[in-house]
Amino acid sequence: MSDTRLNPRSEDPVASLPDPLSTMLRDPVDERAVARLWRGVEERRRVPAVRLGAMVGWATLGAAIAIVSMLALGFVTTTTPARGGRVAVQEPGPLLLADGTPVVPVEVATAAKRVLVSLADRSRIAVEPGSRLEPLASSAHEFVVRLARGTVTFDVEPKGPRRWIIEAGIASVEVVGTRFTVTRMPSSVRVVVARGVVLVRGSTVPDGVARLEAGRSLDVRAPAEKPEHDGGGVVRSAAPHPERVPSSLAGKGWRDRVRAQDYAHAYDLLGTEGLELETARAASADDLFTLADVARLSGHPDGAVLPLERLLSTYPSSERAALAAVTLGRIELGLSAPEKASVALERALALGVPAGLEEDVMARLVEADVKAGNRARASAVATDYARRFPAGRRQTDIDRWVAR
Amino acid sequence: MYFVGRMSRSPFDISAPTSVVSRGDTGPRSRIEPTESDGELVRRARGGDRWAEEALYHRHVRAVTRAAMRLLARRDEAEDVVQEAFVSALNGLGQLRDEEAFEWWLMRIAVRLVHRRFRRRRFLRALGLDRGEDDATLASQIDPGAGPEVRVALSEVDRLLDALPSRCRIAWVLRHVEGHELRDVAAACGCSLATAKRLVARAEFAISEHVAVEPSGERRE
Repeated sequence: MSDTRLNPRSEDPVASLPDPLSTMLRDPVDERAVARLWRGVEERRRVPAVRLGAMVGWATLGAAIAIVSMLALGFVTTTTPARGGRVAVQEPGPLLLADGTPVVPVEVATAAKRVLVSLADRSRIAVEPGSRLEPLASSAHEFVVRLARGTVTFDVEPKGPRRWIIEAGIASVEVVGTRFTVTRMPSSVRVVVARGVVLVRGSTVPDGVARLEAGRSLDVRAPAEKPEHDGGGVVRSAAPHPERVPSSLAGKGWRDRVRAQDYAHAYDLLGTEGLELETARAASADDLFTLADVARLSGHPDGAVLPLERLLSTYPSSERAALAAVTLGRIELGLSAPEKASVALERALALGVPAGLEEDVMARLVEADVKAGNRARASAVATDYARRFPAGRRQTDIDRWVAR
Repeated sequence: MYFVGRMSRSPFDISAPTSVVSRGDTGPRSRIEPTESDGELVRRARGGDRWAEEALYHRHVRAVTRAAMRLLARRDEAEDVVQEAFVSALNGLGQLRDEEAFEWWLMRIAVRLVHRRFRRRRFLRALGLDRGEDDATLASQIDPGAGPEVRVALSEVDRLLDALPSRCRIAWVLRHVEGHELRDVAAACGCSLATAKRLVARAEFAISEHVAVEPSGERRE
């Protein structure tokens, strides 16, 4: 990338932006969007799209007039498909039980006998003792169930219209027509395929997805908990539930992503609970600041609060402390918590922020105090600012806040 | 203070990561990163391997979605474009002559769809019927730690981009927002390197002058 400014006029704010701009933007794509978009792609490939949007364009004046007329009459409300890109099709309806009633959760006690469930499309489900199966979604194209625990064998009618998805915590199994068994244990999921082919997905599955053919089986294990360093007297949080444990906790996956400045991916690997767990384990101010960076720079500023608070309480004399307090103040301000922001920013000033940041911190403190309703202190800080920085670059902002 | 270039940051810039040792730059990636090359995955996908299709999707979906979102500034429209692009690419793998060129072939499809969206938007605007909401502007994607002055600057960029001809806008965003090399911009836009340079330069000029340029000299696709 060339080292050119976006705008050569130095007095222009646009001129001070980095190039490329993506270095200062959040990644707008998260894992849920990736999964949702893929479902949309598959749906569209299965059902060719016939959308009104394709008709609108530069075709003919007559077509345009017709569209305008339709819009004016309220026949058309939008030309953009709903998020997820689902195309309106004739819905034959959800998958029902063989007797025509809706599918309901099935729980079989440990001492009870296996329960057989027959469905309207001639598929069958065998729920073993000690198992619980819950329907999550059922439509003309999809049937999604959650295996909460235990062992269930699915005998899916081949060439059926619905894609079956079995969510089993750390793994999910997808199939169109086959026979397979899924066993969910506390720290692993076993998939055994008797007929056909299934796709198994999970964070610990190599490459994220595996194709499993008849006669094959796969054990998807929850990542083992293996601390990278001993917290030595640090209070540890409770271990997350196995199904939520990120794979990276067992290794250094998320740290590698941080070194590559790939914060979005690092956060995806950690997850909320992983971040909390690593915060409890962290043995230095640097580690805590790194965790705060992961949360903050991946677009989850609220996740940065915990590591920053712990940094301030555990390492108050660290070189990082002042900067942590400034960052915490800015985040709290952004999270509409001006009282907390005020406390953090005041602490930053007390710890001694670098000279280049002092003006900014004081200006934000005025803003936080005004928002928190503490006008007297806001005025006092504003007066102090004017005294210390007679030609301060944040004076205008401060005047604006005090005047509110 | 923001500086130009990747490394030229103030040590007190708290919007920058402060605890990173190595700064080898890579964009956010999908979790699924199979070792097979694009060419190998394309060949397998042509043979009906669904896993290969999904692997191609996971490998490239983030880059395409990011680009579409930052070009269109509308989340719904961008997601629609991404889905259309992948459907078109995966259904049309047989037309791809150089399997290793999948990435930029896909991006080119997406850019073409973005063009179409811009044309439709212009058409609907002319009729006063554009009801879409710009909910994915650059300013809305800014790092939460950035200061208000940066937000103002990015809002200005959003406003200026909206006034640019679509081809200039696309070339500029791919170059200066996504950070692609000019030859890649040319590949995505389906034009020559010289044309890509000209489009980027025109956009740079318009932004530097804070005025919109007339689309009169623009070649239509």
